[in-house]
Formats: sequence, structure tokens, C-alpha cells
Amino acid sequence: MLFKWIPDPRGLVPRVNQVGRWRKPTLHLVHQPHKAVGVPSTILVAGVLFFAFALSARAMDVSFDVQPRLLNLGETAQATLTFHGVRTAPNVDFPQIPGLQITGTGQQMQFGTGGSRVSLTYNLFAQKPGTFVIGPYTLDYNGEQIQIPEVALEVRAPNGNASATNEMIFARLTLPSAPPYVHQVFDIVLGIYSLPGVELTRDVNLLGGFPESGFVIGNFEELQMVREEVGGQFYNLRRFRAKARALTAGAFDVRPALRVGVVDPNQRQQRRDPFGFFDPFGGPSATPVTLPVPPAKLDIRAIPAEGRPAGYAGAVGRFEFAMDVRPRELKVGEPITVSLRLQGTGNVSAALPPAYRDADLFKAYEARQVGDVPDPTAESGAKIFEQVVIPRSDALKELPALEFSFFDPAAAQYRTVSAGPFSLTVHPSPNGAGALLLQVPGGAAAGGGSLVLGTDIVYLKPAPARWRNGDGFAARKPLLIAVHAAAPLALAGLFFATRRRNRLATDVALARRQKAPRSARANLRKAEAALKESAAPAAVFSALAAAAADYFGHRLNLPPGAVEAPLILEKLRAAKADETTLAKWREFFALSDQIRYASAAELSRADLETWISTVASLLRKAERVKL
Amino acid sequence: MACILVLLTATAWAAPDGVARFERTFADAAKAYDENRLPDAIAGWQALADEGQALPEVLFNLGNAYYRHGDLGAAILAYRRAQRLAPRDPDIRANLGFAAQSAGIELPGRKPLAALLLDFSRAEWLGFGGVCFWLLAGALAAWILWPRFRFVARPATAVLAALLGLALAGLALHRDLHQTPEGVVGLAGQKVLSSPLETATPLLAVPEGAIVRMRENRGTWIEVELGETRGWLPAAALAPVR
Repeated sequence: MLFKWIPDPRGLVPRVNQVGRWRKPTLHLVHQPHKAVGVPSTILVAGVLFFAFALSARAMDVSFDVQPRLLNLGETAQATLTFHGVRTAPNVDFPQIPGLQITGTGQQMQFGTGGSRVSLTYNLFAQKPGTFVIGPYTLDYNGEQIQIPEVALEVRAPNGNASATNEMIFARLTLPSAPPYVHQVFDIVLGIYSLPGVELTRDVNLLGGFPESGFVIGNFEELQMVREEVGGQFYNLRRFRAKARALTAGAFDVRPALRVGVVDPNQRQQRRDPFGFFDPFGGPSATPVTLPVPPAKLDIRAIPAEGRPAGYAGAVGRFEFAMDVRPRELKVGEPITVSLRLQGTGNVSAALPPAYRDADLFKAYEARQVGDVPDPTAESGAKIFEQVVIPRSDALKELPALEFSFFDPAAAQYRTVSAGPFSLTVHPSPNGAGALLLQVPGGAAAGGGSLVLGTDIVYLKPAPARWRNGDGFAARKPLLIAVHAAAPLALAGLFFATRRRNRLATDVALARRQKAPRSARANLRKAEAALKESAAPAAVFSALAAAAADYFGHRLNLPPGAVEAPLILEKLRAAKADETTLAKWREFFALSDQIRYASAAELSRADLETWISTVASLLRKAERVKL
Repeated sequence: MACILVLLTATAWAAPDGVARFERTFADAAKAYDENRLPDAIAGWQALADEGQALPEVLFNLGNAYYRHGDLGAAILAYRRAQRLAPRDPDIRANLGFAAQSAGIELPGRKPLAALLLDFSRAEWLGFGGVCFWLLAGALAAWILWPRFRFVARPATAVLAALLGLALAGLALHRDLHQTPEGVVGLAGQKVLSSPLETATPLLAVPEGAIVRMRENRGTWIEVELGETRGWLPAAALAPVR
């Protein structure tokens, strides 16, 4: 038997009536007023159904048909809603009609010379006999009103009695008669009632409906089918039971729904065909039927605070608590294994047994669970814990009794059971209290056995070879950071220096350009020295001429013989030097030639000083000009 | 550079009187341990640790004294701190495992790369990273100065950069452990709660000595991580491994 949870039932029904979810334009289907026909005709007071879909904006014709229109209970009819002259059609849902389930089964498209059309098909399944009227509806498409005529479907009971009103299939939920307590395990039973002639598929889906939090609900299991009388009619009853446990107190709404397949009676007859087994796909088709369960309210009672024992740890049910202590005779430092067994009916998985705590006479380790962990929804079971206790002194004569408290929901009161005390014989240890043989249950040893690691821990280490010096690293940290930060800076400096060196080595013009100011300054210093020595105009002007020649030779990357006054003046003029500067240069070149080659000029010391400063000034100006 | 090295070397030496005092305290604590005066031994080694001498030997012996004294949480804390300083020391590893088994806890597992990186202490990674750093600087300098030897400098630079990256990864892991440190549960009967409230739902019972990762500190509560579980423990029940 398959019984599956489907968390979101909305994903299983046709997605219609969701205005705004589909593309524009929006269509409206309006139910028209209709006169009553028999008992089921009350559906005619159904409200307005809205749905939206995308259609082309041309003229549209819609037809609606149901076949067959006369059915026996349990048979299925098919409805077809056809949109003529379109290539797409929306998903359309029909209003709820009590007792009649309409389930969308698909969409068919046809293209031909007569134009295109799209048909939506539906299965109609009646859950009780009677006459069901579907429609009339009005399709509102961009203001265009399209009429869909009504269709009547008559469903008869198997015995031909059209007036019978018994439902063919329905579901009920059974909850505990008395409100359960928090953590109390209780039964939830879902029942599917079906008339004896109705055949259901094995698979049943549960479409949610239980609280999403605050409960632990186990798997549903199917109980033996029984027969039950409801309203004077016998029904086959399939029951599904789950164990549940509430985690919090309060009132909860429970409104589950089930989905089950109902086999078409005509299909059943085909299946009985002796030649049917030749068809590998010849299994009977079933109509899925959704069975809403009448909603119920589930009250969960809180565990009373009055009379709650101090050691109570949340156990609810009826429990037995037993202990075993081994060995009873041992030496100081040797381990005692205490087995704590908890067994009973209730929330076994959540219940924790008591355990020993450290005391002056013994050391107690954490209790560890051994063996299987009970299912959280199990109604009964057992848990075994083991705890290691190590005597610290031979004065330990017994391990005290332990008490376990639980709440008994049947009696609505707390109960306490105990085990122990256990007498012990502890002998002194030849190695003192420190000699611990380690046996820890549930350790790394496979199979749950004890793991013996050794007899003792590794002995002390000798004193460190070096001790820390006060702040140590913290004090040196800024210095270390500075030293390490200097390395990238030094590398960057090295990189740029090397690049410059390489450029100067390969680019003669650049190297000479760099050299020009230095050579000019050297010659100017020679001129000053000559002035200081003899004040001879020839010597001074020879140095000044060399300063100009060397400067412009390097600056313009010219060979020594190519540096001439006209060329320099031309370059200065091209660099847009001002006229005063050019005039001074002209005067200097003329006077220089005159003094050096004709020796005619007589210049005083002051004149020579003025010329030295003038040439220096002219060279500074030239340095600022782009030649 | 030579001056800096001399300075660093000189500052590494402790003052002689301090060293003598430390050695005397250490020896006294060891003697107290041998004579089963465990509180005295604990006090001695703890004093050394508090004075900035939290060296592997001191912490190891402190762990032994706590273990003998029956204080498993403090013993595991001391061993774990010792292991941070000397991760590959077999004695520390053995005693830590021994104490963990005694407490019924499992030491936190690590991914292979993280385990490999944490097999070296922060100081080791710092030293290794420093050496790689200066060798890399030298290789880069050689690359710049002698283009003829770039066929050697290039692979050397790549290898040294990779090694430096490894050292940085190790340091980053140690930094992560410093910022969100491990914590040792020092009290028995602790439960990891779903929120920092005493009435919150208990998620996990943690024994004394359990090693958790301390994620967030909120007043008297600390958010911890143990395996797949995240929850809150009282700050008083935890001691960080630093």
C-alpha cells in the first residue's frame, strides 16, 4: 500500500482563478441565474468565477459538451470546452459543485482547413447520485460576452434508484477522545468509506492538512479493512493509522484531504476479459478523487506544573527504570560501568535517564547512549545508557540510588521509580589516585566495546630551553613591520634606478640632455675662476662660450663642431623665446667671437661679472624652454 | 640590515634573573606534581603561563596536572593550547587524545589542507613566511639587476611566491582560529541551546571538555558550533583556546 504525503496540494490542482497570474487580456466567466432542478440544483446559486488567459483579440467561439450525460454511480463522464479559431487557450477551472468533482485532464490542439481550435478536457466524477447542472456560464472577453449553455448530468445509484442520496465515497478523521498531553503519543486514524461496489486503487495520497510544526507524526500504516454502517448503508472502510506526538500545548486545526483513485466499473469489466492479459498496458484506468475530511480541532494539554518532581526531564508515558553496576569490587582509579535502562510506553526517544554527578568519592563521566536510538514517534521501546564512574577513594562503599520521574497521562499524575543503591568494595590503588585505566563505553572502538588506550598519560616535559622575554614579539612588531615594509620600497627604488640607468645607457640624446645643466654649471664656475684669477676677458669669455656650446651641444644632441650661434638662435626662436633674450644671446655670441678671436674689446671686471651672471641667467631660461 | 639582525638577536634573550625565576617556578611545580600536590603544581605552571610564559612545555605539564586532579575540561584546554604552539609534538597529541577519550569527546575534524596547514604553528609560519619574503625580495632584486640571469630568477621567484602564499594561507588559518577561537567546555552537564535564553530548546548535550568553535559573543552567551549544530552556551562554561 502506498500512502504518500504531498506537502503542497495547490500544486496538484489546475491553476486557475488566479487573476493577474496570466497574461493580459483578462476574461471573466460569469455564472447565469438558473432555475432549480432537483436537490443538486442548488449549485445554480454559485457565484462568479474569474479566470484569465491569453487569447488573440479576434472573434472567438466557444463550445461546451459533456458525454455521456447519463451515468451510473462510479462511472466517469468527459467534458470538453472548445475554443474555436485560436491557437492557445488558458487553463480553466469550474466552480465547485457539491457531489461532483471536475478534474482537468489535458488540452488538445487541432489545426486544419476549417481553422484551428483548442479543446480543454475534464473528467466528471459524481460522488453521489442525483442530477447535476453545469452552467450556464458567461465568458467575458474584452467586453465580449460569450454564452456557454448549461449541461445536465444525471447520475443513478447502482440499484437504479435515482433518489438515493448516500455518498459513494467519503473520508473521516478520528482523533483521541480525550485531549492528549504534550509529548504523549497518540493515534491519528484516517478512514476512507466507499460503497461495496466501488473499487479503489491501492495508492492513497495525503494532501497535507496537519499542522506544519509542533508535531511529530510518523508514517501512516494501513489497518485491516472493515465494514461499517453509516446512515443505514454499509460501507467498506479502509483505515490508515499514524502515531503522533505534540511538542507544544494548544489548540490545532486539522483539516487533511485525501486523494484516491476510483476504478471505472466499465474498466473493471474489461479487466475481467480473459484475453486482457495480452495487453501489457491493459490495467484499469482510475479517476483520481479528492476527499476532503471534515475539519477537526485537536487540543493538546500542557503537562501540569503542580507536583512536578525536581528531577523530572520531560518523560510522558509509563516507564520502568533499571540499573546495573559492574564490577562491584575494584581498586581506586579503576572504572565502574553503570548501565541505565529505560523501558516503557511513551516518548521513549525524548526521555533521558538520570545519571551520577561528580562527588567527593568518585568521578562521574557523561552518560552515553548505546544501542539503537528509538524512533521519535515510537509508542514504546527501550533505551540503554552507560556511564563510567571512577572511585577517587577507597572510602566509597556504595553508589547511591538514582530516581527517574515521568508523567503518567492515563492517571494524570507524576510517578517516580528508582534503582539502587549498589554496594561496592573499593581497594586502595598501589599507584595512587592518579592511576586511571581508561575504559570509556561508546568511544572510538568499533562495535561498542571498551577501548583501552594505555595505563597513563605521558609524563611531564622538561623546562623549556628558552624562555620568552617580556613583550617579546609584541615589542618588536613595529620594527619588524617597518623592516618588511622597507623591502618593497627598496625594490621599487631599485627598479626605477635600474630602468633609468638602462635608459641613459641606450638613449644618448637623453643622457646628453641630462648632462647639459651640469656641464653648463662647470663652465660657469671656470668663468668665475678666470675672473677671480686674472680678469682677462679672453679667459672669461672662453669659459662662457664653452658653457653655451656644451650646454646646447648636449641639449640638442649635436656633435661639438655643429654648435653654432645661428643654429642656437634659430632653435631658441622656434621655441618662442622672447626677443630680449634673443638679443642678449646675439650680443653675447658677437662679443664672444670678438674677444676670443679679435681681442679688441676692453671690459672691466664689473662688465665681466655682469656677463657671467647674464649667461647664467640665459642658460637658466633656456633650461625652461622646450627646444 | 646587519644592525637590525643584531638588534633582533639581542632582544631575543631574556633577562638572566627572570630566567632563573622561571626555571625555579617550573622545577617547584614539577616537584609538587611528583609529590601529588596537584593544586601547587597547577598554581606554579598557571603562574608561569599568566606571566607570558605560555610555552608548550608549561601548558603540557599544566594539562597533566589538571588531568591528574580530575579536571578534564581544564586539562583539555591546556593541551589544546599547547598543541596550538607545538602542533606536531607527539606527547601533546597523545595526552590530548587520552584526555579526550576520558571525557568521551571527539576532537574536531578538519579538512586535509587545513589539517596540513595547522600542523605548523603560527610562529613557524611566520618564520617560514619571513624567510620566503626576503628570498623573494632577493630574487626580485636579482631579476631587476641582472637581466642575464632571469632564466634562474624567474622560476625561483615563482617558487618563492608560491611558498610565501602557502605561509600566508597558514597564517590566515591561524588568524581565523584567533578571531573565532575554539572553546573548551569547562563545566559538566552543559546543553547547547537554540537561542541565548535559559528557557530555549536544548539542541545538544555537550560533555565537559568538549571542543566547540566560538562564533559570536553576546553578553553572557556565546554562539558555538559543534559539528553540524549551532547553538548557544553560557560564556561562563567556555574557555577560549588562545
